[in-house]
Amino acid sequence: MEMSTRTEGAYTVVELKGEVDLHFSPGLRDRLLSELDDGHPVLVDLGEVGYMDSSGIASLVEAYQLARNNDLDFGLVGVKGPVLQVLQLSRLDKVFPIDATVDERISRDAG
Amino acid sequence: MRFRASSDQLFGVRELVRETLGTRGCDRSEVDSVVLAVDEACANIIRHAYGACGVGDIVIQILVQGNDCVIRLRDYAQRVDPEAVCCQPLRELSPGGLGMVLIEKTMDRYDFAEAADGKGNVLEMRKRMSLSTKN
Repeated sequence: MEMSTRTEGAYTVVELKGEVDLHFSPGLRDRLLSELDDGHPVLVDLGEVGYMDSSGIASLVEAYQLARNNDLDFGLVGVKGPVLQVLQLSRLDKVFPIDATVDERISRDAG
Repeated sequence: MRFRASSDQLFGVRELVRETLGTRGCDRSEVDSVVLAVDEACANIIRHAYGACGVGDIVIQILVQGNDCVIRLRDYAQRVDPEAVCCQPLRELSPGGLGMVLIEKTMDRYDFAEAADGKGNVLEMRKRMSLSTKN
């Protein structure tokens, strides 16, 4: 899995490429929590992620909970395929804010 | 295939399942479901069955019996109590135990058994697949 960050608008966008599993999810967790601890609202771009397991989902959940506790925005973009399937099976597809793209989320915020 | 019970092996195991079922012409979404179940089961073995001792192997068998995909995972850790591995009700924003939930939702059936030689555990998972009739 590859992970990179960039800034778009007010958000830190954490972009992932590849597959998120037990081996890589700790690094994802650490990055997300670090950004949120620094006070940055976060969007996780999953458009290039072809697989995510429950450990990846747990990282997203923990980050979402921290964001809520710190009154920061947190959302997912580009969710599709097997990642969408896991979120649906976990009944979390209706919990996370999910948008098709970063631009769509930013536009929605401005709306 | 036998592999080390380590998280860095999980990608290779997923690829093995994809390639094996892909050659049988299985429906892509069904293959994704089996991949997820296998990954979750292996992760559970790594984290819980081997747990603190952290060393050991997993043996995976991928079988196609008629229209059923059968996955057998064998570990050499201490016997687990199947009752303790039961599927917990999903609770919102509480991902603990999510792995077993995903296995239960993606596979038609799963069973724990003692290994024939009395060492470790065997998990067998089954899923009815839409197999291609092409060879």
